[in-house]
Amino acid sequence: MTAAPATLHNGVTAVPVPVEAQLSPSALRIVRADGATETWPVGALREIDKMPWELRIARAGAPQRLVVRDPDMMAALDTALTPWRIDEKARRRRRAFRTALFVPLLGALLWFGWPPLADAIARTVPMSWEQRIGDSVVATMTNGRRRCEAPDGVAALNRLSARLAETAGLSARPSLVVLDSGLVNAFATPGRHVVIHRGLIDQAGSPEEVAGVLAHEFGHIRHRHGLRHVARAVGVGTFVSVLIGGSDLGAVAATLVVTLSYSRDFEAQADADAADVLTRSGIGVEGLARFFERVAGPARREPSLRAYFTTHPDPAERAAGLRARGGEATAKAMTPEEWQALRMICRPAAS
Amino acid sequence: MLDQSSARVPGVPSHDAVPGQPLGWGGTAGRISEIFFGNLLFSALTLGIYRFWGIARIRRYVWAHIAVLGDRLEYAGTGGELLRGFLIVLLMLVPLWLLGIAGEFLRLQHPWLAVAVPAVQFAVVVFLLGAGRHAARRYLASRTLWRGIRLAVSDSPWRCARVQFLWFLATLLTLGIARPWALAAETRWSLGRLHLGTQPFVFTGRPRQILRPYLASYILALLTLGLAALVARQLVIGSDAFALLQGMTDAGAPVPKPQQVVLAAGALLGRSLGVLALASPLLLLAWFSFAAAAMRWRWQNLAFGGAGLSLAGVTGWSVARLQLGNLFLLWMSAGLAYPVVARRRIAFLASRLWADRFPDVSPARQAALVQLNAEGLVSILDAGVGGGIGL
Repeated sequence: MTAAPATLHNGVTAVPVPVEAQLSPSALRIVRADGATETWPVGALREIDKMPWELRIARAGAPQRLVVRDPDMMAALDTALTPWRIDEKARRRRRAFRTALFVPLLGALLWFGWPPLADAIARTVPMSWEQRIGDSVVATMTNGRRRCEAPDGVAALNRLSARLAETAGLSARPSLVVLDSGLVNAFATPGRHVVIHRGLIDQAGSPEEVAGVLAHEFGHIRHRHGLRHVARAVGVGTFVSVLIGGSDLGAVAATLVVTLSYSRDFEAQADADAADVLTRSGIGVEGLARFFERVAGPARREPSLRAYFTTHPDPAERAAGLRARGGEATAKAMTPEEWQALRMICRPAAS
Repeated sequence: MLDQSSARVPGVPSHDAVPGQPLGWGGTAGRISEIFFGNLLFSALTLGIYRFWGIARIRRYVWAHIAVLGDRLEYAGTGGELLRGFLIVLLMLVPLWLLGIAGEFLRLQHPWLAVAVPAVQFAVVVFLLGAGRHAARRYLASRTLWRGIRLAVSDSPWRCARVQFLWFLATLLTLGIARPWALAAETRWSLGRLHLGTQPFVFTGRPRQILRPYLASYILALLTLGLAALVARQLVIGSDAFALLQGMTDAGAPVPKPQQVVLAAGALLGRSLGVLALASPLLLLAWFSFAAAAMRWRWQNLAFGGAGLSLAGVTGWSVARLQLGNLFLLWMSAGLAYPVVARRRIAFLASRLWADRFPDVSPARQAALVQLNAEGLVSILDAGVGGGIGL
C-alpha cells in the first residue's frame, strides 16, 4: 500500500481539506485529519489532468477532486489508472472510426443529395412568388442605371424574343431590359427577366450572336435555374456556416467553391437548350458558337469580357459542343434594319 | 503570500493576508499552438464538425494552466455540448432568417418594408446578442471549476438582454454620452452576477467614476474628428482632383482621360490617408486611454470574499500594445497566430491583477449545473465570449 498527504476538494465547499491518501490494489482510501474516511474503488478513478508536479483525479461521476503532489503516490496512481487509460484510448479509437465512416457518408449525402432536394424545394415556390423575387432582383441590379428604350430597338428585340420564346415553349414571354453599360454581360433572373448590358450588343458581330445569347438565357428561365441556384446556395451557405462557424471569409469562400460547380452545370444545361431552340427556329448555333469563340480568343485581353464567364465553363469548349449538337442556319435572326435599330437601342431619342 | 509566477505554485494557507497576485499562468504558446493546429487539421478532415471538440481541448489546456490562489482551474465542458448548443441556437435564428426572406418578397409592394425589416432584424440581433452573451457566460462559468466548485452566473438572459438593449438605445440616442452608464450596467451584468458556487463577486462600480475619463476621450475624439474634417475639406474636397472626379457625374461635361482619373483618384486617396494618419494618433489616444481607465475601474470595483481586486500598470499605452499587437498578429497570420494572442491576453491579466488580501472562500457552496448552452448564438452573431480572454 502507498500512502501520502494530499488535498481533497470535497465538491461541496471551496475550502481545501488536507487528507492522507492510501492506495491499495483495489481502492483509494482518503483519510481526513479527524479520522473520517471515504473509499474510492480503483476502477472508479478518473484522471482530470496530470502535470509534472501534480496529479488531479476524481471518482467517476462525483464532484470531489483529489490533488496529489507526492511523486511516489503520483506514480502509484498513474499505474492504477492504466486500465482506465486503455479503455479511454479504445473509446477514442472507436469514436475516430465512427467519425471516419460518418464524415465521408455525410459529405457524399450532401454533395449528391442536396442539389435534387433543393431543386424540389425550389419547384414548390409558386410562380407569383418567383416573379416578386425576380422583380426585386432586377430593381436592385438596375437601380441608378439608365435603361435603353429606343422604340425601334426595343421592337426588334421583342420580335426576336417572341420568336425564340415560342420555339422554346415558354408559357409567357420573358421581360427584357437593356442597360446602358459597357459590360459584356447578360443574365436571367427568377421571374422570367433577362437583363442585357449594351456592351454585349456592341461586341456581338451579328444578330445571330445576340439571338444565341437570348436562347441561352431562355434556357435558364425554362429550367428555373435562378431560383434553383438560390435554393442550392442558401442550403450550402447555411451548412458551411454551421460547420465552419459564423459567416467569416472561410465560409464564404467554401460556399462559393461549391456553388460555382452548380453554376457550371446550369450553364451546360442552358447551352443544350439553346442549341435545340436555335436549331428549331432556323437561326442555327453558329452565332452563339462564334460569340463564345470571340470571348475565348481576343477577349482574354479584355477584362470586361471575362466577367460574363467567371462562373461558366470554358467558352471554346462550349462553342465546340454547340457545333456538335446544333444544326445549320436556315433563316436570319433579324433584318439588317432591325439589327441596326438594336445596335442603336441606347441612343437617346432626339428631342 | 499570494505572489506566484506560474500555475505550478502550490496553494497557500487561507489565513495568509499578504497582498499579492491571485492569478498564475503556467501554459505555453507552443503547446496551445500544437493543440490549435491539430484542431485545424481535424476540423478540415471532419468537414468542420471537430471544431467544437477543438474548442473544448484548447479550453481544457488553458484552464488547467491558470491557477487561482495556487489551485488550477478545470474546464468540464464537452464538444458535444457546444455542438448541441450551436444547433439549438441555429434553429432559434430560423424565424429571423425567414423574416428577411419575407421582407424581400414583400418590399416591392410595400416599400416601407425595405427599411422596416432590416431595422427589426437589427433590433432582434442586438437583443439576442445581449441574451446570448449572458447565457454564454452562464454556460462557460458552469463548466469552470475551481477547487471542485463550479462558477455560476445568476439571473435571466432575457432580463439582461432587455437592460442592455435599453442602454444600447440610450447610447445611440445620446450620441454616445450615455456610454459610461451603459458600461456600468454591462459590467453589473457580467462581473456583478458572477459567483463561485453560491458566493457572489461584488461589483460596486458607479458610472460617475468613469465619466471624467470618458468625457475627456469623447471630447478629444470629437475635436480630432472636427479638425480632420476641416483639414480634409481643404486638402481633399477643395482639391482639383476632387473637382475633376465630381465633374464626371455632370451631364455634358468633358470626359477626362483614364490616366487623369487614375491620377486624381490616387491623389485623393493619398491625401485622405494623410489626414487619417494625422488624426489616428489622437483618436487612438482617446480610445485606448478610456479603454485602460474602464479596465482599471472594472477590476478595482470588484471584490470577492472580502478581498478587493485591482489592476496595476494598465495604461492606455499597455492596452494599445496588447490590442493593436493582437490585431496585427491576427491580420498578418490570417488568424494562425491565435495561440500567441491567447497567451498574450491571459498573461496580460495574470501579471497585472492584484488582490489586497486573501479572500475568504468558506461561504461558497456548490452551485446547480446549467444545462442550456447559448454560446452558439454569440458565435453565429460574431461576438466573442470566453471569460474575457477570447477563448
